[in-house]
Formats: sequence, structure tokens, C-alpha cells
Amino acid sequence: MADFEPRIVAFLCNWCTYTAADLAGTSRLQYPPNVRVIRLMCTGALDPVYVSKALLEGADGVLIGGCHPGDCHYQSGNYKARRRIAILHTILAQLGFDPQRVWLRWISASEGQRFADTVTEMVEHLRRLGPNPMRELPMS
Amino acid sequence: MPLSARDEHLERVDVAVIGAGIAGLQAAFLLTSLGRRVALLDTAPWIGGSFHLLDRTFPTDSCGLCFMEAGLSPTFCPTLESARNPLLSIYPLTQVTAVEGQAGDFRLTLRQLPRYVDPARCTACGECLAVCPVSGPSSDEGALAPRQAIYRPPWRAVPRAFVIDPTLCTHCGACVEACPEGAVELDMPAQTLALRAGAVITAPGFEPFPAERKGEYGFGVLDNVVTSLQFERMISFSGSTRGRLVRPSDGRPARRLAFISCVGSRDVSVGRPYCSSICCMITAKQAAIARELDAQASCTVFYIDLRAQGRDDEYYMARRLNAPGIRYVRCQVSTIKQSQRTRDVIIEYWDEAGQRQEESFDLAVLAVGFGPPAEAAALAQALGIERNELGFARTSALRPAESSRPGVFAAGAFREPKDIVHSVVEAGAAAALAATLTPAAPLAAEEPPPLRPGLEDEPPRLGIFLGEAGRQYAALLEDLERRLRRLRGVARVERIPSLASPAGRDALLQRASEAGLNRLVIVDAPLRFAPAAEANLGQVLRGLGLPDSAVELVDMDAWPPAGCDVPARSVNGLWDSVRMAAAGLLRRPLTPRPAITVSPTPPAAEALDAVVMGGGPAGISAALAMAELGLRVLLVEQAPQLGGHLREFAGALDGEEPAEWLAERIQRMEQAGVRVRTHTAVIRSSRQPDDSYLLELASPEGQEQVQAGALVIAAGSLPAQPSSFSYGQDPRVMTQDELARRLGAGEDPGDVVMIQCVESRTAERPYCSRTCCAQALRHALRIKEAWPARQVVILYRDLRAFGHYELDYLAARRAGVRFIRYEPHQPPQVHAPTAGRLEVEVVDALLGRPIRLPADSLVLSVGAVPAALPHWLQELGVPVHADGFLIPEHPKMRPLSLGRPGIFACGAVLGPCFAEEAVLQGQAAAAHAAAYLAERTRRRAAVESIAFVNERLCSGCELCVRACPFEARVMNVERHVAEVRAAFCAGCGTCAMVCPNGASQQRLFETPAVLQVIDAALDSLWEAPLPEEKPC
Repeated sequence: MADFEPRIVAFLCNWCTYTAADLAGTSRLQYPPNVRVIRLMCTGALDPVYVSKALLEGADGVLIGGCHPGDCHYQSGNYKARRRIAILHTILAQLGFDPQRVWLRWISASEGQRFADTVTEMVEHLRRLGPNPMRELPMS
Repeated sequence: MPLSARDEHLERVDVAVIGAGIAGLQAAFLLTSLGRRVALLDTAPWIGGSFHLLDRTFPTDSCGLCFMEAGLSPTFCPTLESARNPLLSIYPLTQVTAVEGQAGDFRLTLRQLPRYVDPARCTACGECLAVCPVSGPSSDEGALAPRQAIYRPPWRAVPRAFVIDPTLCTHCGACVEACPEGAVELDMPAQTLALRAGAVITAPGFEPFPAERKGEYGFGVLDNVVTSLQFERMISFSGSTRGRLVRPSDGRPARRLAFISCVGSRDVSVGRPYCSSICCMITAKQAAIARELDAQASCTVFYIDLRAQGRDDEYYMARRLNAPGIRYVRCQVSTIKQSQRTRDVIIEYWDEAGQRQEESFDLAVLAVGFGPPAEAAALAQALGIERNELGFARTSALRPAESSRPGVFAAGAFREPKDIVHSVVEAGAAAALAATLTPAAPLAAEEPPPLRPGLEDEPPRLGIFLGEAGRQYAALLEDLERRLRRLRGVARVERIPSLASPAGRDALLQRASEAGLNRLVIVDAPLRFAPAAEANLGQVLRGLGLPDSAVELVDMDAWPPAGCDVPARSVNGLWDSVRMAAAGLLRRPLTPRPAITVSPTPPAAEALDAVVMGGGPAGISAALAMAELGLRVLLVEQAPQLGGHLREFAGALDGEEPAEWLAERIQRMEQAGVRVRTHTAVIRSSRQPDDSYLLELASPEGQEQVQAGALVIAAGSLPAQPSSFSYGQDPRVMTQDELARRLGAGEDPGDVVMIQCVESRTAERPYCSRTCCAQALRHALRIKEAWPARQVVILYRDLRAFGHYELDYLAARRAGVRFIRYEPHQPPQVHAPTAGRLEVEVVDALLGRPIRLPADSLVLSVGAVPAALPHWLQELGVPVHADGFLIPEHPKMRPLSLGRPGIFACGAVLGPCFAEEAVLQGQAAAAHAAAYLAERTRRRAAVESIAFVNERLCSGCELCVRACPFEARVMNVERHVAEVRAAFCAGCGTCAMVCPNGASQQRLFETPAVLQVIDAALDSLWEAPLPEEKPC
């Protein structure tokens, strides 16, 4: 398991966390390269189907990043995301899937370091959890 | 004097804005929304001012500076928006040396210092950093981080080009050789420029107090003493310690933190007699964030008075006072020392019981005050404006945005230190007044370019273009290109010069058109926020007849960073990013971006542009400013006459009688064509399908209907009616307003005791009314002036004489007014015998024992309560706080907007405020309303991620209508399907998410495309492991 490299799919809101990730990159901050970023305009537009799809396809973790509470550029999208992810966590747990593979974090546009820290932390966490059990399933 | 003919050829703008900080940017945005051309000048090498220092602000404890209003759609950082704004020209490193002419036609002489790097050629690649041998302390990080002689501006600075600090540069020439673009010019000269402008707004900001002048606090000598500005950068994730609390002496965690208030404020000994107004709040925020960053941190705040004046600030402070791990100690710190062994900071102070105390801490943070900027004197001289005795721009209470020279306006901390929200408001006021001096040009219509015919029938043809953006990407590109050649479904893979250059633009256009491509992935250096690249891309798309949805940009610097030591890691990330972009593009329909006009039909001749509700100083200022901007305005006031609370005011304000001001404004309103209805109430209002408002007015003469595009709520507040201290039973007990009336009539009040915070800052009425302390001081001074023998005692909790009101506090103490502090749990008691004098008994918090004060008059500072708001406001969705005041859309950056299209508020309806603030808010609300109306009637492109509906799939369930936060969704009742009102769609995609049938979709983010991208993100997982990928 030592050389297990977790693969994270990140859904980031255009205004805050995507910009923070951009900042982390352009600032040459060092963080593990295990994340693949998908931009959304708002976490409120994140369909839980996307998260499920990523997990079914074998992602070891899904990171959802949005604006801090009160800072949503669309008034309340991050609150909507928070509710949806809470429900998704419950559903994942019921299915016997560790909900701690799905992280929701608030990272503002200036918090490049926080984005890098979050990815680092998540990679370590996922290393401990091991690969997504879905990967064990035979793929068609 | 008219300007001479030699100036005819000069660049002419409508308004020159001096200082590109928060106030300057806000003013510039509003002016460009009103169709004015603006020159934005700053002495720094980039625009943004103190923006770049700030990370998180009270009262939200989050960043949110990007919420500054700049049109109708959501914004990125204001600095980046201004780089894209075609009506805005930016002059960095520029000082104003002379201003000739007069309002309407000024000629500005400018001196632009050299940057030593040509912004047109610098690609911010950083090769020069690798070779620059000199380094010194970074001024942006408060010297806590090093900076080289050539350096990269803060992130999101505009221009982005590197800068050379001439004080550090040794002219060794290493960077000149290293620069691949030849952008460094060590002999770049300073330039003298000139500019013509109709009006000038000056907002050069502030300068922090040099803390080393308070020698007893040891700043600059002791290792672990920092200023609040340095600490601000430490707690910022982009700052010197990247959000980690460490001791500068040894880098060990700083857990025991001390905050010392009023360093260089309220201090006559260092020539800073005034209060800097915001340091108490900054400290409260910093303590809270420190606790958030490190749950084990303990914060001790040493303070004199807690100045959290106003509603939001008081609520915020109350939360902090009771937060775990934060301790407030009322005292004045006498000295700070340091332990030679541990380097701990030792703070010595006298506590309230008069005991000498010593405590040790890891880090001491000095809450430094703020003064006028270093260039204030020279700037004021160049502008020909007066400064007050404190060094700030001289303005007056009832003409607060106007400097002493007509046509020159002042805003922000240049008037005196203040919070962001007040700077934002003042900038709005200055913008409104400056705009009236310059003619409006109609805003240019934005037409999406036409698409090439038959595009929808073309099969996808994808090209991937690799921009050669610099040597540092060369190896990466080579590797990537090799891999891309194997990718299936790609028509072309080509190298081109970077799209940031005209050569890149021409190459892309030529090759894409040769190959008949209709989908483009462009891999390049960061192009987001690079205005030149954005313009080039726009030209390419126009040339190809493709919509913006045909392109995906992949940033070589993004994730994982290309600058990483392990290039293989970068190329894997880049390879995936390119595949993801390509996968999404191939599934994306090429729909054009629609153009919209919100008000396609011109409103009827008798219709109104705006209705102002409330005829106090705020409402009058709003109505007059809008009318002078050419809008048709109706002012409605319930009372029989205009003036509101200003009519109660006794005596002159900064030398001007409120009654005279009122008469002048009423006359000007008449000239400007404002229709005024007194004795009239708006009893009903409804939003019309064209987003105007239909109002029903009721007056003794009858009822009437009017229609308007915008509403400005200026309903004001009412003085609270106290129920304690025998008020209403004893004529000797009165409120401050009643005292004002008696003083106005020349009545001698005898010996006076004033009680502050009566029924204010309590559980029932938890907010601070902001104005009462200053009002009490004013009245006390008036009494002492007229009857020097009279005793005046003020009983207070925190004397909130912020800003220049501190000078009144100082004067009152000098005049013999006594100040006694009481604790809220030991309120004063009043004995009011029918015979004999009143007697007030109070426990002096400092002495800890009761004192009896005889008095002839007892004056209660009761604060303000909100006026009754009409029920229809809430029906329109305007949010009202539990305390009865309106809630603005964003407490810092959008203080006058109410989150509903076309509805604005100003004055005390948003919380108690001074007359001066009401005037500023009124004028600012006018600018916002006018900008809203101008944008609303302009043909413009819809947001690029606009929602749309596939009507065949829509079941009419209305989930999207309920989910949309912007009222951009309506039901089409005839067809029973949902529709998108393009003008209001902000492009968030919430509606697409809630749609159960996939009928609602979001442009650029169509569900099938996103699913394809997710697939692509994980594809390589099944191909092979990524052995060379290891974290650096």
C-alpha cells in the first residue's frame, strides 16, 4: 500500500476555490499532484450525481470547494451545497461507503495556501483509507 | 481660466481618480457604469491599494472584497475587473504634480516614475528572480518577508508586470540578460504626462502610524512585537507566514497573543489626538481569526474604550467579547519588555484596581493607528485643496464629499481613517457628484459576434494549440506534444507563439481556419485575467465565426504547478487537464451567447426613473443627486415638510446651519426637476413584468399610481422613547434631542448629568446607536461654552468618540466636563424629589464605589429605533433584521443594495448614522441607482454560463423557479414550461442542478459534457499507474 497514490477529483467553484487553486499553482506552492480539477460556476450547481459518478469511476476521494459561508457570489449556493453534501454523506454511509472520501471545504480566492494544505491533508487521509473499494470491482 | 489650445490634443477623460484603493476603484466602477471615461492613478506600481494586504474582514470574517459592485453580473477581484474595463485607463507609479483649470475642465500634470520593466513585454515568467542577487525586506509584508530588487507584484495586482525597487537595485544587469522578452530597462526614465478631466476624485488612502515612535512598546527593537498590519499578513494565507502563527524570533508557534490598542491613536504625545476608528474592530477580527487558525491560541486585548460604533460592529464585538480564549483587559499598557532567555514579550500594565501587573506572551500585536498618506501634503498642494489640522482633506459635515476646490471630491481614509464600508459609500457619493460635472455618453452596446453559417451542422473538429510562453515551459511542452500526438479524435496539434502576443493570435487564427476547426483547446501560460490575451482570443473567435463556448484554456501554471522540481509530475497533470478539456469540448453544443436588453421598450413619458421614500438628509441627497444626473425623480415624504431629523438639529454643523443647507437643497431640487410630495405615503408596491415598480401613493388629496425603474428607501429612524429614569414624569429629565431644542432656544439647563447607552446595547435593543456619544459631547461643549460655571457629568460605558469626535472628547475634558464610567450591571439610579434638585447615584467603575451627583437636568442618550417600514417592502423580498433595520446585500462591499433589482437604501433606515453619513449614503445610493438604470437599458451580452431550458423535456414542476436566487426564472403559463429571463440570470447553474428531467441546462456546463470530463479525469487511472508521479 506504500506506493498507493490516491486520485482526487475536485469540483471547485469558479469564484473562490478555483481561483485559490489557480493561485496555489501560480504561486508555485508545493502540494501532492493527485488532484484533477473540474470547474463549476458555483457549488450550488454541483449535482450529487457528479460526485457519485466520480466515485463509481474509481476516484479515491472527491473534494468540493466553495466560497466561505456568506461569501457566495450567487447569494446562497454554498449553503445549498452544504445541505446536499450532508445528505450525500448519509446516503454513502448507508451504502457502506466511507463518507469521509467526500470533503466539502470553504476556500476563498486568496487562500492558495489553504487549498494546498487541504489537498495535502486529503491525500494523507486517503492514503490511510486505502484505494476506493469500487476499484476492486471488475470493470467492463 | 480657460485652458489653452495647446491642451486640445491631450487625453481627455471625464473623471480622474487619484488613488486606486478600495474607494478609488469603487468610484471608478460606478463612473464607468454611468458611461464616464475614467483615469485611475496610483503612486504604487499597481492598483488595489490596501486591498492586497487584506484577507478577511469583519463582520463576515471572510474575504468578500470581490463583492464590490461593478455592473449587473458577479465580479472577480475589482483590480482584475478594472483591467478589463474599456472605459478605464490605469496610471501606476503616477503622482499628480499640478491641477489647472476649473470644474468641468481640469488639466492635470502627472509625473510617472519608471517601473524599469516594460509591462507590455513582461510575461511574469520569473527568470529574473532566479538571477537577482539583492534582497531586502518586503514593504508589503511589513518587512517580515524578504523581497528581491526585482519582484513580482501581489497576486491579482494590475498590471501584473514585475517591478524593480530602485532603492535595492545595484544595476548589476543580471535580470536584463536573463529576461527572455527583453522587458527589463534599467535606464527607463521618469515621464511627465498630462491629462484633461472634467472632475477629480481624490482617495489616496492612509498610512499606518510608525510604531517605532512609541518607544516604550519596543517595536523594531524587541523580536516578538509586530504591528497589526504585519499580523494581518501573518494570518493571511497569502501573507508572510501563510496563515501560521509563529514568533518572528524563533519560528516557534505563537500561542499567547497580546493585542495593544490605540498605538498612535488618541495620543497627543505623538501628535495623533484623534481616534483611528477601526483598530478596535481590526483587533477583534484578528483575535477571532487567530483562534480559528490555532484553537489553542489565547488572545488578550488591552484596550481603553471598545469602539464598536454602530449596528454591525456592536453585534460583531459582542460575539468576540464572549468568545472562548479571548480576554479583554481595560487598561493602558505602560511598557513592553522582553525576556532575554525565552524572547517572550513581557507586558507591564496597571489594572483597573490600580495594581501593577506583568504578563508574558509569545507575540505582541500593536494596533497601530492611521494617518494621512505621506504624499498628502504635496497632493493637496498640487490639487489646490485645503487640509484640516489633522492633515486630512478638509470637507464639511453637510458637504462631506466636496473638497475646498469645486470639482475636486474626496473619499475614503483621506478624509479620516475609516472602515471599508464607509470608504465604499464615500466613493459612491464622490462618483455621483463627479458625474454631474461631466456629460454622460450612452454605454456602448455589446453585440455577440455573429457565428459562421452552418456551424450547428458541422461535426466537431478539435485542435489543440500549445502556446510557447517561455523557456521554462519548453521541456514540458515537448513532452506534452509527444503524448498528444497519440490522442484520438484530435484534428490538429500545433505549436504557436503565446496567445498573449499578436503573433500567437495570428498563428492561431490562420491555422485553425486552414484546418476548419470548430473546437479549440489552448495550452498556454496563465491567460485568465490577462487582458491582452483575452482581447486576442476574442479576435480569433470573431475571425473564425465561433462562439466563446468553442474554446477551453488550459493553464500550464495551474495544477499541479509547472514550476515543481519534478517535471514529470507536471506533465501528467497537464496531460490530464488537456484530455479533460478536450473531452468536455467535444460534447459541448456550440450555442451562441445571447444578447439582452432589460428594458427593451422605452418607459412611458410620464413614468419615473426613481422614487425616493423619505425626505430627510439621505433622501434629499439621493433625490437631488439623481435629478442632477438627469433622472426623473419623485421624492415622497410622510411628514408635512422635508428635512427629517435635521430639523431637530441645534446649531451649525461645521459652520453651516442645517436650515440653510435644507433651503438650498430644496431650491436645487426644484431647479433639477425633482417632484416632491409631502404628506404622502407609499402604501403598496409591486414589481412589474418589465422589472419596474408600480407604487400606490396615498395623501390627504387621494390616491395615485406611479411607475419607476428604481426605488431608494430612505425612511430614516426615530429617536427612542425611554421608559426609565422618570422620563416623561419629571420635566427635568429629557433626551438629548430635547436638550438640543432647549439649547437652541437659549435655555440654561443648569448643572447637567448625561447618561449614555440608555436602553441601548441591552438584550432588548442590542445595537449601538453610533451617534449618541458625539451628540452628548457636542451638547456638553455648548453648555460649557455658554455657561462655563455649569457642572456637566457624562456617565458612559464606552465613550465612542471615534475619528475626529475624539477631539471633542479632548476639548470637553479640558473644559471641565467630568466623565464617569459605569458597568452595565450597575446602572445609575436617579432620585427625583419634587422639591430640591435631582440626584444621580452611580457606581464609578474605576473607583468601585458609589458617587452622588446633584443635577438640574438629567439628559438621556437614548439612541435611535427604526422607523416603521411598510409591509410591502418585505413582500418585495427586501430583508429586514430582527432589530427592525434593513439588511444590506453585503455589509462591507454592497452596503446600500438590498439584493433586489433596483432597490437601494440610504441613511438611518440601515442603522443609526450621522447627518454627514446620511448625505453620503444618499448621494452614493443615487450613483448606484443611476448605474443600475444605465446598465439595465443597455444592450449587453448575457453571462457566458447562462441557463437555458429544453422545453421538450420541461414538465413545468417549477423547482427551478423556486431555486433561482435572482428571480431569473418564470413560468410561461400558456405553454406550462419554465423560462429564463436572460437579463437577470447570473449563470450559477443552481436551476440546472435542481431540474429532475435535465431540461434545465447551463451553458458551458451541460451535464453530458461534465460527465465526460469526469470520465476523462479518471481515464488514465485504468491505463497505467503513474509511477513517476511523486509529491515534491
